[in-house]
Amino acid sequence: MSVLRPLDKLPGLNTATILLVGTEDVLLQQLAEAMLKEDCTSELKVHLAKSLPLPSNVNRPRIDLIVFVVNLHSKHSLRNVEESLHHVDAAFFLGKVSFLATGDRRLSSHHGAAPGPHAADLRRPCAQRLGPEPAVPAAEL
Amino acid sequence: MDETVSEFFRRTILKIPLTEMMTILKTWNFLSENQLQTVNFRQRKESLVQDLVLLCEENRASLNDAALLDIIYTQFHRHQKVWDVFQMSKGPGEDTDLFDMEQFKSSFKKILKRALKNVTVSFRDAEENAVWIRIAWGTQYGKPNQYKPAYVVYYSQTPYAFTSSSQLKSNLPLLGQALTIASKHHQIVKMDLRSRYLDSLKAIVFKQYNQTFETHNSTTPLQERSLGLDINMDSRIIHENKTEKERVQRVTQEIFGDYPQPRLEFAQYKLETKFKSDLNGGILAEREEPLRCLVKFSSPHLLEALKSLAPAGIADAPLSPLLTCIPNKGMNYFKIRDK
Repeated sequence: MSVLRPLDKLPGLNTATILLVGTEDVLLQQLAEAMLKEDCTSELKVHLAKSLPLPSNVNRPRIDLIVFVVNLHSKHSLRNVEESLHHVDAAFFLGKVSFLATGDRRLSSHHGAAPGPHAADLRRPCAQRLGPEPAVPAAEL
Repeated sequence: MDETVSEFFRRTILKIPLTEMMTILKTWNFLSENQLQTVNFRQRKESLVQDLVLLCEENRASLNDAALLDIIYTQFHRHQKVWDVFQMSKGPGEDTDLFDMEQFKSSFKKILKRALKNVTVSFRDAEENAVWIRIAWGTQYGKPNQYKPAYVVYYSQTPYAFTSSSQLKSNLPLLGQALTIASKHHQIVKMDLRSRYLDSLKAIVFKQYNQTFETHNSTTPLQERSLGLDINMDSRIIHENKTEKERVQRVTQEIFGDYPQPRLEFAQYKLETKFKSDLNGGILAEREEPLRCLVKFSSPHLLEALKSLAPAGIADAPLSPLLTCIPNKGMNYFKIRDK
């Protein structure tokens, strides 16, 4: 079964691995770069995935934190996260899962042209992290 | 100089932004270097315009000179107008005579003047055997309105003409007729293509948009040819779906190519289809008449926006052919009916 389990592998020495899951690759990339700029006591690695399950034929380290990214303007991105949750073991939710909502800036007008030609302009990287407590299930988003 | 002509000059020159004044006046080439040197271009715009109008009077400028200035202004500001595209065709078996520009111009003018006694027609030649035509419409009894002209850009070596949507729409059939007859064609048809960006319309219609400017090296690995995201990538960032990302880049590139897309502001789809439902019954399923709805996509640069959708993860690749066929088919207005 292709389910992510938090403790199925031994941890790497002084390493931490974060998995970002979301449909919008450019945003995940930006978030990863921002994370890597911060000081971290361990050696940090960030994996980016569109959805779960992850490709099975790959050797990867133990995942310490999953961040699901949802774009408030896209039902598709929410559905993608909902479906990915099936592939996460319940034990992960004990402090190792986080949900990130993006796109809270309002689009200026529904008539007339979009703010910029590139799809990436439709959302600002002003994400809101839903608190440090145990993760909120997707249904309450 | 006639009061109305003088006023026309004043208003035309007033439209020109100060930063472009010198360039446009030089292009117009009606006032001499010496005359331009006598003018203080740093004064208030109203006074500058007054001085320039006086110079025009000195040179005994005519209505046609003013119309020419108006054409030049419009050429510099072509994006201020919305352009439609017309395609002409010759009848079967008609000879392709050698095109004579002067004959075309005189014939075009004659046809319009015969139909409407009061009309101002002016021409300015442009590159690629094109001619810009400015038409100020009047009526049998009223003088032409110089402030609502129509523009036609006709590429004489092609069957295509671009017209600015004039407010006086009733003259459109006459314009089409004059264009068709003067250019020795048989029929004229309006294409379902419209945009502010005349050069993009040209590129689409003459199929010039898909030319890459550097030599296309097909042996370049896909990573380098992609949006440059992979080149400076931090090795601490790992893409789990690399193959899928590469597939999306490849498909996007196959459809949109490496070249910059022609610029359009919108695509409009008129749907007239019957309601289809998986569930049997329901009120809408019994409806005989088709449902009508309009879907409009708009953007400062529609095709670039569509191109960026799949790589950004907002849409799946490949995109619907209804969206990707736009430059190929030369349409941005679609009517979709049941087959």
